Amino acid sequence: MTAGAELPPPGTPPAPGIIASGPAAAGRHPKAAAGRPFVVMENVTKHFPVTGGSFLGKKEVVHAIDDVSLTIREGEVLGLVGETGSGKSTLARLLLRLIRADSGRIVFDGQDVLAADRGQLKALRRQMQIIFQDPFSALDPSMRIGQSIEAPLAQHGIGDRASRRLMIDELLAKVGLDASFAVRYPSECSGGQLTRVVIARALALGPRFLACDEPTSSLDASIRAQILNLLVDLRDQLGLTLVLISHDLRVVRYISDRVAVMYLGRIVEVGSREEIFEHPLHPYTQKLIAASLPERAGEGHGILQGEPPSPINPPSGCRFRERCPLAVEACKQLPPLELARPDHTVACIRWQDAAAQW
Amino acid sequence: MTVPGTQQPRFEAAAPAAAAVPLVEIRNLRVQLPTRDGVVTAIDGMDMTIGRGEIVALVGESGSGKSMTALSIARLLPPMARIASGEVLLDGVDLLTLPDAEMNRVRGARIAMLFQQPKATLDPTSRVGDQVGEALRFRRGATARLAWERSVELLGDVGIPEPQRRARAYAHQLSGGMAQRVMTAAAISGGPELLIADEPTTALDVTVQAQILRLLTAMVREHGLSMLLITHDLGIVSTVADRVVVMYAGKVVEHGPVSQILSHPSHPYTEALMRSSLLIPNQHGRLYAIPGGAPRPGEQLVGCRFRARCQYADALGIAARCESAEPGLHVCESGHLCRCWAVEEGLIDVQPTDPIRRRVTEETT
Repeated sequence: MTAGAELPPPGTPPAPGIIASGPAAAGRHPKAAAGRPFVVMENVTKHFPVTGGSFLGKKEVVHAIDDVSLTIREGEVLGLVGETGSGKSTLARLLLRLIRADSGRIVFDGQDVLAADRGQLKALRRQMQIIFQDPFSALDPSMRIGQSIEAPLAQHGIGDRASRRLMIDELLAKVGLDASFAVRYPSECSGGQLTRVVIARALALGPRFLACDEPTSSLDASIRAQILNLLVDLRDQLGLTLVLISHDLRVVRYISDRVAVMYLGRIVEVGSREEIFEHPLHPYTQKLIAASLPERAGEGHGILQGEPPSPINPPSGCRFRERCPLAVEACKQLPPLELARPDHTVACIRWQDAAAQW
Repeated sequence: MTVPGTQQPRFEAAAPAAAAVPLVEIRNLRVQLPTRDGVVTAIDGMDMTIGRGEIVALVGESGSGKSMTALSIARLLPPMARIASGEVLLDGVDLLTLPDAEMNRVRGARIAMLFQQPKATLDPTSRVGDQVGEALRFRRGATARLAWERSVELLGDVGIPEPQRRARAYAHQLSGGMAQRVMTAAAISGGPELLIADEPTTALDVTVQAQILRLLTAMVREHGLSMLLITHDLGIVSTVADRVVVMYAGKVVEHGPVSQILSHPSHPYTEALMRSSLLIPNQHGRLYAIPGGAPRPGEQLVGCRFRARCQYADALGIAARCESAEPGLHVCESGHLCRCWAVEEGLIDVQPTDPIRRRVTEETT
């Protein structure tokens, strides 16, 4: 599809800072409003060279992302799942151009991310933010919480010191922390509190898009639910579009409107939450669901054997075929991502058989 | 091939709780840590047992003292930690009073540990085959050659493909799942009686988690070991453990057979932890979350430690009681202990059908 043609021109940038509160009246599931393609990836590929390869030998590369196309709709929460090394984190970093794609096209609200110059990129970054897994290492231990939250505001020249102080208090309140946290150091906070701080910092510039890379996986179960509730509230209040990366399918099932499943650098299945969890069509998705939500799987879904093969020399054709119980000779050809059911695409030539055994 | 002292299984895989004398008995253990804000009591009067052939899960949030308990058993506490009181009996011998040299012989040979970060635990500069065989060479007196051969065998047992070749690999050449398999082989190589696994699958993918848990359970049952499994994930407890010990802020708050604890948790904290783990939203689309956070280390605690987050104290009108005096561990069913005034005084029944439990559950979802 040609995303650029059907995308409206870039919307007016939101007002600086947290004053931008977005469509406040957005409902719990603003899916009705969602739907406009907001962030579009087309045939994006990213390979990382392997350092220390043999002299004169063929240069080896890690196939981190291979020919990935994905559309994130405005206002939705897209859950991105897959095992370690499947490329989920690389994908998020590519979207924000924290790393550059080798080829393909990435469009953010009509604007080409890969072609953006320095100034345009800086403006883009105000609208797209990311939070990482470990809140302890994401904050400078020698900076007070308030200073950490102020840093992006100062960087983008928003407000003066006095007005920024007010913004910090407001941001802290938004994530459920009182103003006294501004003078604390990270070592004086719990993991759950630091996660809230990291979210507050990401919201400082009033972004419209937030990528969350395993936001709750270092947290205790009791705190995890608090953070997920907070993310949903913020999405509703601020009209954010979210990409949530997680290997925990319970988290993804709760928070996502749509789910994309990755395996070894490729997207193997995309669909609405109901479609993915009720009618998983890719054998890999089925195994993932069976492993993390045993109550969801039917009889006879044993645990997935082995581990993903090396992304340096991925199998030809379907990359899952070596671990797949349904693999046949034809799987040596690359399966296309095809529309199998409404709002549900899958890259597996045997999805009908997979569906029958679920 | 047998190496002296490693004939397996050491014990018949005894039915849990059938053994008369537990392998490990912890009595009134108190561990303190000096911090900037004064002395923090990390473990405050812990009592627990691990039977022979039994798998006990120790569950709690970070800071609850579960890892400290594990480190106390193996006597691997950080140097500044102080054991204020208590005993850790292994087969009736107090490990806390053993001379260092003797304790060194206990580690690896009788007690082995698995940690959360298997790749960080392995020595990056030595071949995994050498590391797996360490306990045999240094605890069981095997020759290097014999230890290597046994290592290869063990690597095969834990499901490493091509063990001959893999034994020559270094830690960085392994995936997280493979590294945890290697650590498992290393842990059982010395023929220990107790395996302490501290969050062994937390850092792994869900698909690999299932494999490792299955492997650990199989190894423990097959070799007749006892295992202390430390985890914050109640989900993995049900498939693995015989008994569950729940810790909160340095104290055991509930303790009992896994079937009872998971089907009808008595303590409000255990119940809340289970509800928040499930991540199932209510009709308003919200997840149940335990309000507030665990007490900060060093905080002065009077009365029940869970009081500030407990919804029963107010619902039952016993808040004053909960705030003034700490409840003891009360027997609610045979082998099932709970530290809660409401349960002890019979104000709430352990069954989830109890009307007050129901009401509180509905009000808070």
